[in-house]
Amino acid sequence: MITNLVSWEAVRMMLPELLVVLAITLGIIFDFTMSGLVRAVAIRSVSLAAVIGATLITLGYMLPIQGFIDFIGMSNSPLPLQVGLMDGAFVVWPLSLIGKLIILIAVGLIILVGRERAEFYYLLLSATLGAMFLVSTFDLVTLFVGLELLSITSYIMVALKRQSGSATEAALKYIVMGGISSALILYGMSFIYGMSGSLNILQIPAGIQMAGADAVQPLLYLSFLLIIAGIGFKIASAPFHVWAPDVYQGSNTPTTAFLAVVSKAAGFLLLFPLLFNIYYQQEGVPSDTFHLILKVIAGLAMLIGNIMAIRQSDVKRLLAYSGIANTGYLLLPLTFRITDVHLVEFFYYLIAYVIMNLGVFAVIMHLQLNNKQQDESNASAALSTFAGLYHRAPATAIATVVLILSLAGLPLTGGFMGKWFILFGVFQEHSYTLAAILLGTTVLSFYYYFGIIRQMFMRSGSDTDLISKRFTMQLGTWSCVAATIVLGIFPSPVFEWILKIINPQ
Amino acid sequence: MGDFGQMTFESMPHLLTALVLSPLLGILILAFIPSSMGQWLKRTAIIASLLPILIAGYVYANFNHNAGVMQFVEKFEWTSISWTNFYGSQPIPNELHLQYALGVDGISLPLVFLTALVAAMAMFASVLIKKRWKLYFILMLILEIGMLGVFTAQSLTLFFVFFELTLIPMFFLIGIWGLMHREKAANQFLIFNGLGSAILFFGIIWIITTAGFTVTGNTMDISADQPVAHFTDFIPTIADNLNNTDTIANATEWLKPYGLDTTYLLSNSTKWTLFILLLVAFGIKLPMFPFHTWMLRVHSEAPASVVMIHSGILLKMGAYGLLRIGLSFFPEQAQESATWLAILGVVNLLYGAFCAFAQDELRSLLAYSSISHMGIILLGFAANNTIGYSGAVFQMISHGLISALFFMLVGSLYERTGTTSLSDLGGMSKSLPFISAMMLVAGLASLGLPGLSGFVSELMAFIGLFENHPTLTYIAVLGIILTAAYVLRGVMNITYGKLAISTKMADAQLVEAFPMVVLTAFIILIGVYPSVLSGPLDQSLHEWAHWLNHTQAGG
Repeated sequence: MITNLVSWEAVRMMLPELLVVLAITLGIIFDFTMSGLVRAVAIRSVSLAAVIGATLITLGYMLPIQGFIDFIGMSNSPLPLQVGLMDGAFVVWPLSLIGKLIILIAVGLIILVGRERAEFYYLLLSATLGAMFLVSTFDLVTLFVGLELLSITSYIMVALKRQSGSATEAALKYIVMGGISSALILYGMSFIYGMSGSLNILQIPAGIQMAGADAVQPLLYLSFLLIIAGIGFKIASAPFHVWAPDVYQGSNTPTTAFLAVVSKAAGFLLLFPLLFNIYYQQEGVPSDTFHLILKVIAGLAMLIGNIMAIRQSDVKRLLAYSGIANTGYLLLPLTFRITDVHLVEFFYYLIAYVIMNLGVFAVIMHLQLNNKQQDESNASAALSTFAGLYHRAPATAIATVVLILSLAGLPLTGGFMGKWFILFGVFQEHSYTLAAILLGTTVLSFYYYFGIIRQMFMRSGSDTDLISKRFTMQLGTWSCVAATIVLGIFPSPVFEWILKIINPQ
Repeated sequence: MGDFGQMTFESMPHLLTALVLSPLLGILILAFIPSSMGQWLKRTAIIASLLPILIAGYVYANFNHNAGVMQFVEKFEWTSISWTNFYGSQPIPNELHLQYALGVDGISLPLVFLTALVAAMAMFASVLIKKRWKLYFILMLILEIGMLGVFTAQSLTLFFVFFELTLIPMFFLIGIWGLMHREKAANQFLIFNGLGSAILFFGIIWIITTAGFTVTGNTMDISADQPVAHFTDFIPTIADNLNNTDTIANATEWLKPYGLDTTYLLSNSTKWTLFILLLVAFGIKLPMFPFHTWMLRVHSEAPASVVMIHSGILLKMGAYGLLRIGLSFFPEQAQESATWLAILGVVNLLYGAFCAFAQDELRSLLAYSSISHMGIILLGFAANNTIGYSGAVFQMISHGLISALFFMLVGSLYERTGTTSLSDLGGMSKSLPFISAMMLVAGLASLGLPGLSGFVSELMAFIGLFENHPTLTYIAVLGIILTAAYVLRGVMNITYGKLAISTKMADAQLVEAFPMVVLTAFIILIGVYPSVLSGPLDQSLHEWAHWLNHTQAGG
């Protein structure tokens, strides 16, 4: 049901992307024409403004606001909304709207909280642009271009800390691994094209049927394995996770946050159309095998992530493994037949994951800022930077406790309700082993999550100074805390909102 | 099924919410008192903890003894989500209802009051805490919210939320204010109880997706009346579904065309799995014999005022959960496994007693004594009759009071002598006559002297058990003799015995003596006038037993 529009009206559907492009251009111009503090402030403000604008416009597509509907030139409520440009190369559809919203809010928070050099911001926005294109296309080539824009800018972002050896090492690892994974995805896509003779995801199933599902079945499995391996790298899922700890540790914290949150979310959103339009919907090819492969990957991610996290002494490494475990939780709803409720479970936990992780990263940036003031060269994120935080900054410590409880899946937080819904789905599908792995590894995760709490409340830190209080950082952290609690106490509005978007009646 | 699901609505609609959230008032006030003002923090916390007692007392006084049903009920839909699911190719509307439901019956009411009482007494005992009062008292009040919530929650999710809510403050309370190995104790507490919670969570969601699943509408003719699939976590509804053959038949009939037959429903083996899962989950909390190691460490490392709550109330959450969820959801399984429950109870009783006999450390002695006494609760459950259940509930209350008193005394003793080792203590009656006298009362109550609360509960549990398992009862009575031996050995050593510390010590201050007297008063009250407890309890248990028999006969 894609309407092909090549008109001004359709271009209006690209407004969020265009805003981001504008901010990138302005950022580069400012970088060359201005200097000092003015440059930094100007680039940051422009980036933030563009992201906020893009977020509001994306929200506008979803909400039935009359003035906005008039503006984009649609006569009735914007939902159900499916607009396509250039034969599906650019598509606005419900899942892409949620995806874009999550990505934009996350990037907005990273810009708000992070303090980096000027070039970081337009690189960040370029990567964001890649992620936004990635989620709003049905065309395999555009999909890959979006993915590469995201990946290649991410490599540069990791390498930004030029003088640091660990960052350079991380960048090298990331670029090699990332390159391989991109190649795997491309290889897998080439099989899809070979089987179906089409690049449009919506037309591929018909193409495969034409070729005869039985005849191409082995190729279908092969392409699935290649693509899953490639995306597995991007979302840092075991057993394709080995790059994550080193890269997370070596990068600047805002970059780490971007990789852990935006990059991962984009990877999942890339997986979506491929799974649901090609692999799970193929007549004549039972999807059980695809389900099983994903189940094994999810189980491995939960086990490896949580077990490895226990022994970490660096918070960013710890969060890398915790992210691997969370990839496992997030994969769970995607390993079953497609139903609305599984999609909602996935998005609910994704939103909770994004929020709680950004909150924790905001706290880490906060702490590192404090360390930097003493020792410019070595802004480490060892677990002991949290030591005695409660004595230095009680409010920040309490905020961190809420975020960590959410990560650990304890009640009254978004993480708890997210896990509740995922388990609810898993039990509806009678997947008791996966439920047991989810809960068992959650208990393991208590050990390392509470390790951070132990540092904050039960150890005394070396410096007794109050940590610097930056308003934007406080704002970032506390909005994440508030959102986490709201998600934990009032789950139904968000749940029903997602439901309404993915399945407008 | 009858009366179990019925509830009476009272004139004060939010009394239980007010009760559960009443510690929040104290938390808010404490948050605005500077942390340097220690005296004010202590006073505020003590006064704040009296509020829940007042409300709980009001509820107790206004509880209708003649109605065995849930009272003071509050219920509204906290989360209500509807979506369309495909069964086969048929789109069916699904609805998920998560309830915010509170209520008390004769079983939970005494425990609610016990919670408020012991928590307040623990606040008095907390005057001995030496550091970081503000955080300490805030955490104690959060803990109280969790405990009150567990005993009043009427929906599975809410129950679990409160159950987990107690985990977090306890971790801090043990890890910050404990003795030498506090962090290790806190970790062990966290991991063991986290495991218990995970198993409970597993069971709860499993129950919601099976026993909580019902179908309304016309299942025969879809076009006439669109069927709707419901998921609920409301405890009475689930208990009803589990034992109502009509509901099951209806859903089975409905699911058949979709090839789902019994997958959504509980087969017999699923019921057994769930029952065992719940037994283990609550058994860890109780603690049941192989899962008890964590609580020994908590008993010996946590500050005395925290152990008062831990031993006095948190352990009872395990027993209460087993009764409210495990036994009432799966009565057939409970009855069939009664012998095993009784054996587990006897093992707990004897193992605890033997180990307690060998301890040279008052805290460890009391920890093993708790294990031993928790065995009697299991025996009461295993009896599977009204008097047995009654004995189990009596034992929960009685042991709550006695162990709170014991640890109150341990705290005061440790404050003065700096040790809880039996060999370092002796002849305390000379220097600390009041504390020693209280110690003696607690000891006598613990060993089950007639006229004190321990006697009533043990007697009822054994009478109940004797009906069904006379042999095991004989063995269990042996445990009582052992109890007398180890309690007297410990208490006599401390109070009389050889004078070990000759320095002059001041006897209990008023702030310490007051809670000791109050706890003793309740121990004596229950001992000489058990109907103060059996009043609300009897009718509820009667209804409950009636309901169980009904379901066993019918299902």
